[in-house]
Amino acid sequence: MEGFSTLFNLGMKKRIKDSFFITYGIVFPTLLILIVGYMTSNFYSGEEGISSYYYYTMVTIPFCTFLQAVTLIYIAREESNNKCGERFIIAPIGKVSVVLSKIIPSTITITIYNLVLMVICKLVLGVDFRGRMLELLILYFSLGFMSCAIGTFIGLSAKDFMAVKNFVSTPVLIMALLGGSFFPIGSLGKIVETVSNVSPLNWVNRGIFMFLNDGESKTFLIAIVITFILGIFFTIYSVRKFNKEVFL
Amino acid sequence: MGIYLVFKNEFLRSLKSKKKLIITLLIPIMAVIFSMGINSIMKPSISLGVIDNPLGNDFKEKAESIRGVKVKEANEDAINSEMILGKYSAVIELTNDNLFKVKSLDSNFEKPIQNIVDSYVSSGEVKGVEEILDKMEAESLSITERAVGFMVLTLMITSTIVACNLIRDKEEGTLKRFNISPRNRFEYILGVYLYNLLFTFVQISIAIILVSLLPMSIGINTGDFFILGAVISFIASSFGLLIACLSNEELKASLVSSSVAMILALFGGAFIPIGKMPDALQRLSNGSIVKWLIEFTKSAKNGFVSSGDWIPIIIISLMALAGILLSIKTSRRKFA
Repeated sequence: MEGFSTLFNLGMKKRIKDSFFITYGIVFPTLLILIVGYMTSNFYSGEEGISSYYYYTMVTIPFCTFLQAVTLIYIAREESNNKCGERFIIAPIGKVSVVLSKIIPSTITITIYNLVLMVICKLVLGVDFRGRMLELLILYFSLGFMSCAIGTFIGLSAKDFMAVKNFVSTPVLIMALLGGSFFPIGSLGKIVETVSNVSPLNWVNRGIFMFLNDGESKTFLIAIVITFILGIFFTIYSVRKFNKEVFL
Repeated sequence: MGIYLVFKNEFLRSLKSKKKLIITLLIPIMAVIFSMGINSIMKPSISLGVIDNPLGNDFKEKAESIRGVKVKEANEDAINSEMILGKYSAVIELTNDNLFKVKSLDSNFEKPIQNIVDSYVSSGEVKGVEEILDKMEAESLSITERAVGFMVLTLMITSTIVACNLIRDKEEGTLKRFNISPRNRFEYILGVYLYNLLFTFVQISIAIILVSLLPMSIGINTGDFFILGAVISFIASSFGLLIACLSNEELKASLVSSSVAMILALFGGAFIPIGKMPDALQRLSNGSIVKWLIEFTKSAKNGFVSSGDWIPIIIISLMALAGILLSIKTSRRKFA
């Protein structure tokens, strides 16, 4: 863990003012919730606080958090893009420190931006989080951790980085579709319901709605555990696959 | 000649990395086929949840004899989330006052279903469901329109990735060298554009051929689908070129293309029919090229019976050409 605290501080400073994190962590989801929520306002009666803004807030925050995996692919190789890879190779910094200094600051930043987004949705759109903002933040932290770990894993370990990096958004979009991020898919039948289980966003969205609207926390906890375990798995794999030479 | 040379160079460059070429070619095809598969099973339907089956099996049998209607026993503990996630259009339960109460998140849906239930209680017949299904059918997007909407969204993103060769060429200094040659920069831009256009059309063609081999209905004949494919390629490659010309970094281009394409698709009615949007958004949707693509799809399905059917393709052409011209204009700084 040599050099971790220095790299962590540097990572936090960079991420918190990273224009991509701000754009895709706050601006884009806010716009998406506003547009789609307004667009579908005729479909929801708003009874019991379940309005179109409520639905799209609940599904858009996890979707945009998952989408940050794409940003992490580039962050994973930023030393290479900034042409400072040689310094990292010479410096006495451990592999674990380098990998964790990418994943942890990004996860913390995503969680902070998700909190900002929740406050915006609550104050501007009147979205009712049923007093469960802290629990939701824990889930977003876990999902953010998984997204950052997957993005870092792809960025650091892909041999054909140029080919892979461009297509990560496509599976994310498919996962989002299966998770009901664009429209509810519950009416599509048994086959889609079964297939949708492969999407972590399906577990996350289902867990959130069951927790907030039916008071059932089992799926919510499963979603936290699954995303966190996947996050740890991809972090370990990122460390194992990482060679400092990829920064060259 | 310059355009051809750039086109040829793009083609030869793509052949250098076979793995990248296969990924670039196949992933959008898989996404398009997947979206068509999902869309082909999305038909207007009514799924009713019943708690403790208050109306008995007779209601279930009579309702399910109508095509598109399903009656399922609902789990009371997860009823709200299952309605939110769209599993049930409405839920019927017996209240403590011995009344049959219908609950739905869509107020436009609640009343008609309540009327059907009340009518069943008094007459023993399930009446009025067909009218609701017909109305839903008329108001919803057809399979082809949905498929076309998702195809253009996917290909707008992947076309940008192909057009990002321009950003890489700028970083490697190729554009600077081209600029001091006797060739004009618009030849380079058009060469990249033509390669992207052809590549996208090949992707769509493969997807159409594969879909036509699968037992999947897409609601349009293969010939017309190829025409739609050509229009989608035209839109997607123009969009990709514009984003690549406006962006300095690949990451920026990739993320901007995903978000702008999604917003255009949303405004254009690719997910939600324009007729069901609030008035202000209906007017705003005229600015989205995806709306005109969906209008063109309707015209193609109807067989271009009136002269007005050609208006969408004229608007699409003008918008796409404007995108190409803007790309050429804004590419000046890339060649500096």
